[in-house]
Amino acid sequence: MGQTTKITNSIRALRFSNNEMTQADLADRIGMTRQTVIAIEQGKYSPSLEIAFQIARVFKVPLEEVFHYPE
Amino acid sequence: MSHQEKRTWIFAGVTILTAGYYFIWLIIQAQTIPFTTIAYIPTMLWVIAAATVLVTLAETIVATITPKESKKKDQRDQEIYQYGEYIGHSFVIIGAIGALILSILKVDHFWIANSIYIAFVLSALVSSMAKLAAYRTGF
Repeated sequence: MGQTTKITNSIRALRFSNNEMTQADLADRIGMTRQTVIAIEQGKYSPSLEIAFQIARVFKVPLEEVFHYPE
Repeated sequence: MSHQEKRTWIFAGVTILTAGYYFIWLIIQAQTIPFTTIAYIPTMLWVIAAATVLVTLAETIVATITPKESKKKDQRDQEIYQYGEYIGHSFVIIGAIGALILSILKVDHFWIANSIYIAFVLSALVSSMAKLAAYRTGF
């Protein structure tokens, strides 16, 4: 099953650099299910702008450090 | 697997089971008498009632087994639900148009009722398949 969006992300790397935060922890903090966090990480789901900002806020980084859109 | 995906599997499974039973029963009846003389109404109503009870029962059991995630439904679940319903909805419209044409042509009510039932079954199956595909392959 491949990626369905051009948007890539660094959520996995950011989780590990933040005390190896689990997908379940991140899901709880942004009010989503663990399955949705998995889908976002794998590029199978593009979250809304609001969720994207919430994820960035959890890691205390700008949005561009979490999500990337190729030229 | 999210709770909403489990619910979709339950709904699709019960639809296949109950509608399958009904159509097989119809075909068996049609071996001896014409379709339009089959007393289909009680069986159709029982099948619809059984489907409702089975879905409710199965969802309750799944929600009891996995209480933590049972109430959780997020934005992705909502979007996948709307996407699936949008796709399945077209079959309800096709069924309604078909039933309207059959009514205008004064076709026996057996065909009108069953064409509507088939449309509901197809709508349920197609929307479930679309949702499951979205859950599995991405959305």
